[in-house]
Amino acid sequence: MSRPKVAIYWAASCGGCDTKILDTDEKLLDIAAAVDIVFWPIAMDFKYADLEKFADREIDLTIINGAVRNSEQEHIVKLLRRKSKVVAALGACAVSGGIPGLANQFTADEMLDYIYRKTLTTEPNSQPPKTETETEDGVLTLPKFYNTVFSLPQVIDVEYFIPGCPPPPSLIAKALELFVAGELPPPPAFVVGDKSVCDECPRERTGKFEVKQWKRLATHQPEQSNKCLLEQGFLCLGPATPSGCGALCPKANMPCEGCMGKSQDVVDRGAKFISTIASLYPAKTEEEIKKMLDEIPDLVGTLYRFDLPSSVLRGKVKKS
Amino acid sequence: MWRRMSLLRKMMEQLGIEPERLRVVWVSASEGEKFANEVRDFVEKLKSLGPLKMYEPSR
Repeated sequence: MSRPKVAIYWAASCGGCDTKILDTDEKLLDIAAAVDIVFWPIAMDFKYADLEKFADREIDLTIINGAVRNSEQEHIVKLLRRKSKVVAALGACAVSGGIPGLANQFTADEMLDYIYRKTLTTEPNSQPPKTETETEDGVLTLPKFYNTVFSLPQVIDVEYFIPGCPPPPSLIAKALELFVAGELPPPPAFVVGDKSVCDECPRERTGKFEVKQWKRLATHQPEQSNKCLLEQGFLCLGPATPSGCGALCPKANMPCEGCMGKSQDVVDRGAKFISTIASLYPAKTEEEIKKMLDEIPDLVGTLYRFDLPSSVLRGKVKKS
Repeated sequence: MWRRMSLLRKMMEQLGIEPERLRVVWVSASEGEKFANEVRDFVEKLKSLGPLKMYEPSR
């Protein structure tokens, strides 16, 4: 009985999800013994040509982390989809677009122009990279940098979703153990807890929300207490985020940013969270409302930090 | 209610949708004329803005 074949790929990714696979520690040894890893760019030396040699659906499980925002990533995830029986999206980028997804507020040209010409420390006359460049040794090619960042399910069919930025190693280990045992639930399925982050958070909630001012870590220190961060006036997305991470961030004095995604009964979490923000802040006059709005300078970044591509509005509309 | 609408308007603006496309009006069932006037005015406003442009994914 041959071992199941597993491929792991990173698209528009920071590498954090791959490090979390390694952080499953000793569980990884059991999993590595039970499967045959046939592709893993960060850790092993297989080439794209090796992937092409597989028959369709020959790979039993492919785990893809990272969003899709260039032509190479799109090509490879589609290739992997053809060659795989099951695909799992690992991490916020694959699940919903992730932090790279915030780039849907800009076009590719705007981004490349800023990055390669306009930052403070960039030399003048720098050129953004091109898909084709003539050199004396021939033409060098690069993948095309897309205008839009896509989540993985926006490009290929995905059976399983393991969210988080990065996903907790415990959830990665659980998903892999279920796979090896042949006990994965019927797809599509999200590997998350069934409560909210608040239920895992040890902070004290008095239930009295009277936020006088919305605070940000950039400008305010959390109190030296065990008080709920939302009650302190920080925009903690704990109430709107599925459990499974153990509330690591609030335990470390950092308001939850919602990286574990949304609960499945909500269509657009950002829009829903607006109600939460509005209900906690006792502004009545136009002046007080303006003060409230000024205290949240980047509303889109706060509401859609990890899931702008998969939100209803998806990105910023270009002026024509 | 105004807090929620203001936040929604700010979000729309940040995402490139004209904030004038969101209007909140208090009208009761017995204020038929006011309702008709508001709707008429809003439709004219929307026509002058043109069709809603949503984000279009592109490569």
